[in-house]
Amino acid sequence: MRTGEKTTILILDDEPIVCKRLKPYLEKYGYEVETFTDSSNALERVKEKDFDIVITDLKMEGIDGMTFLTKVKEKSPSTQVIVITGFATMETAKQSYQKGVFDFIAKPFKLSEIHEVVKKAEKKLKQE
Amino acid sequence: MFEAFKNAFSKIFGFRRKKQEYSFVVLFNTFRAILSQNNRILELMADMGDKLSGEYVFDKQYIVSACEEISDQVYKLIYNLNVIGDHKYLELYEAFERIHRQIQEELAGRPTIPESPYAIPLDLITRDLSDEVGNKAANLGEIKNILHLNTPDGFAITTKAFKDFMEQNNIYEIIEHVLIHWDGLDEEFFFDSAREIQKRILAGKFPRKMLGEIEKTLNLIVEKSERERPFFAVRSSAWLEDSEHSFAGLHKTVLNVGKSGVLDAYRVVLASLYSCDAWSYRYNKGFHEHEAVLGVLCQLMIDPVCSGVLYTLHPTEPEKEVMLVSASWGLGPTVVEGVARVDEYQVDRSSGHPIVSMRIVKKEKQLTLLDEGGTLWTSVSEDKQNEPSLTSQQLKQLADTGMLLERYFKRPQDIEWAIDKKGEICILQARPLAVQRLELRSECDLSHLMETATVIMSKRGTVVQRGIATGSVFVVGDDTNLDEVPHGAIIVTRYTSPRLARIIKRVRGIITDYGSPTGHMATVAREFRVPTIVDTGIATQVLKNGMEITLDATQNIIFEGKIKELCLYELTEETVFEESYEYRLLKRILKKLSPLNLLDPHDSNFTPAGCMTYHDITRFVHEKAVEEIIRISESYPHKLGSRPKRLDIEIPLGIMLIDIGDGTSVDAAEKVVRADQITSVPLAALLEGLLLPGMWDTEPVTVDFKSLMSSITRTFSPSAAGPDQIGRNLVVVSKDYLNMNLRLGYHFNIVDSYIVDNPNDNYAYFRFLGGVTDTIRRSRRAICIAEILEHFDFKVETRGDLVVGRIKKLGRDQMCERMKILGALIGYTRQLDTQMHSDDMVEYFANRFVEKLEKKNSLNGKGGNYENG
Repeated sequence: MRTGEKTTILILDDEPIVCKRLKPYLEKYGYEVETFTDSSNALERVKEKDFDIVITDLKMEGIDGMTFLTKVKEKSPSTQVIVITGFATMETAKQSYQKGVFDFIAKPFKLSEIHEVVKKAEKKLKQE
Repeated sequence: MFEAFKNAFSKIFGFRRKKQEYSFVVLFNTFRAILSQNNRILELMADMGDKLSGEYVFDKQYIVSACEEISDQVYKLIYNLNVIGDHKYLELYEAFERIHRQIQEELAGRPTIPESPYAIPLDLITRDLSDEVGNKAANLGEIKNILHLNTPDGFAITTKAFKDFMEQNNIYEIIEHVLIHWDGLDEEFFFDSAREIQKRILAGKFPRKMLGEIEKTLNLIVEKSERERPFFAVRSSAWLEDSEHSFAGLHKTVLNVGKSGVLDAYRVVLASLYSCDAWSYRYNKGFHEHEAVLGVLCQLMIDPVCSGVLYTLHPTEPEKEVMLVSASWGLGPTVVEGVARVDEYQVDRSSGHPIVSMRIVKKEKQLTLLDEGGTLWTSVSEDKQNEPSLTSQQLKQLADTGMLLERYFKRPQDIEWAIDKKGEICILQARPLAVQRLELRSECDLSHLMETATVIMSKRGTVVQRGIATGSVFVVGDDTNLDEVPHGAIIVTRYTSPRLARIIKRVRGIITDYGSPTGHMATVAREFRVPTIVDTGIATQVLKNGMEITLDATQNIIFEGKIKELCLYELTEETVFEESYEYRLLKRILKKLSPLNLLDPHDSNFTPAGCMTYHDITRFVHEKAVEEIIRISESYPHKLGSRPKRLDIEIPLGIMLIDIGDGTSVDAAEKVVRADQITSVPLAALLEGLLLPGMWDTEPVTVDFKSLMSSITRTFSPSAAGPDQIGRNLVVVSKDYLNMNLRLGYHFNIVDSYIVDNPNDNYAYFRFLGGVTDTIRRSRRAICIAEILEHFDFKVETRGDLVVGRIKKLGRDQMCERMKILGALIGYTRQLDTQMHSDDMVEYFANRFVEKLEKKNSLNGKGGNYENG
């Protein structure tokens, strides 16, 4: 991770409300945030740029979250991936730990919860 | 564990079943299932309510799945009641279907227009009625009735009226036709259709009942105004208007309409919904046509000396921290429609509001009211043409009002105002102002600012109302004259005194040493949305008069100095949570779930048809389920091997006891059982606690109070829930088991417990659900109960006034002690209602209970160190 620069975060969730609320919240803490509601657009962006942290939903139209995060990890293994997913799909989500996912958060979640996880991911980035 | 139960039951009731009849085991297990579904439903409702607090990120999927689960539980509940109730309650399925369908419609994006009167006086309107009257009227109602600012009196013609008018005149048909046949390109077809709709609306007939109601409300307002010849301004108040979508100028306003012209003006305003401009705006913005719903606001006309518009923040240069005011002589359209030159002022946003700049122009024309109705452009007299239309005093007042509205609505505001002949400022309408997103330069990056700022305190106390405020500290003591509190101050005080409610409107924030988030002051702070943190412990020690601070009640941090960027950042955020579709959707859905209308089982509306919400159904089912179990045990004593007995104790609880195995020592045929004949381990222990002296009494407790809390001078009414309000209650017992359903007045207590020698099988479950008192006292009571339960090692969950306590796997004696405590608590809580006058009482009553009990029992709470075993 480059020091002195802002930590970059990409958020992918097909429900716009999630992006709308996370972006300003995380920006306030000094992160550089880009949001996507369409997974193919997000994938295009990931091909152009390596993000420090990727926050993604699992169940989406088109390319699903699992495929997306696999591609992210292939391209940039150091990227920390945080999965946000509905409570019902949590169990299946956890089975994918071997894909190198950093952590899981069940929706709905508190803003402070995701901030904590992002901070932990940041710490891990610094250690690596 | 539960299997052990079932086996025990089966052994006891190994009788032969008659055809189609269920055994008592099945019925009783069904009853238990009803209780746990009942719980789950209450928990789900409370969880969904929590999500509105702003702390959570949730999406539509959450709302959909929460609705699915709760609907599923309610359905099962009804099914189960019909199992134990001989299918007497099939009508509940109709109530379920009705509510379920409404929820589905909401989820499908087809919000239902609520049933309401055709016209509602402004006095009765708040934002809760935004679906009924549209946003503009709802906002104004809030300004009039909550903030008590000067606004013209009037009334709203509701969205229900709109719907019935459109239906009566077959207008939905044409709209439907357009929606099906328009290719999105053929302008002529679109415009022709729009014109046809407008024509029909303008010639439309009113349903008779609607005419009557509007006229009645109109007369009411006219009478109250004491004006001889009242005139009205008739304005649109659409569902989505004046929210994040302004629709500015798209819908018509008709000014200065006489009484007899109101209905014509109503048609004109309605027709403007289908002007080519308005319709294409909706089309282009992607609104659904069923969202095009219009309320209409009729305000008494005022004859202003001057009027104008106030923006509380510069829309393109928010970082300048100024307000913009435009003003001109006469009526508002001069300014709003930009038809003539107007005076422009820039005023500083900080308190005192110094004028930053002004541009006074020559104002030759003004729009004035005609005596016979309507308006006319007239010339401004020579001497006034070059005169500023506002004095500096008026500007300051306007700015203060603007800031109040902005703080309240949590958004920069676009306000239409007027100043009447008496010189009073009058708010005509207020709506959110779209402001350019604040671009943060990296050197003044917020996280950097927050890191470098000195933190005075962090994460102390409880956030009552989120939000950010900057300002100067003003410490309020017991004898501070509240009139001395400056506008825009952040007040710091030792206690959450209700006394502060009077000045809450004009302060920017509140920080206290003590107090609870459910107190009266906290409620008022939330009502006015003033950022507030209570119970910090040290506020008055570290914050002194005149200190400049930033109160960040979103992160719960207090910074030294004014970090105005933080304030602005929040103000210019793209999405305010409350404006999001998901928030509105969840809120609308909760209206169909949570409100409880069935309060008293003796009321005539306590029927399946009277169930308006899932909560009503849940309440109805629980009441009937208890009745049914008693009925079954009375009608079929042979099934039990023992007839139901009246529990004869000193306290009038009206308990029917069903013994399903060695729970009493009396003969099976006996109709009455005394406390000393109870052999059921959990019930015997519970009764012991309930019958402790002092737990059930309703004596007024004035004496030791006065010494404790000088602030409270009232004596307390001894009329807690009297015995006459006690319903028929049920206890089912065996030697090791107890299930108790107790309604005392409007409270419900449920106890379910199993106690044997093996600690691993032991458990006790206690549920308290309060009833009708004001919400503040209710939550105080809940907190008090929770504190007591926690003191005795229960695992406690509190949601609103629902308290659930669980404990398990203790040894027999320790379990019995817990049952004793529950018994005492049930008696004790009955007193609490009338006496919870302030937050301090929570602590006091909790302590008093624990003391009483520990004195009597030499019981120790924490740590499970028992001397008496």
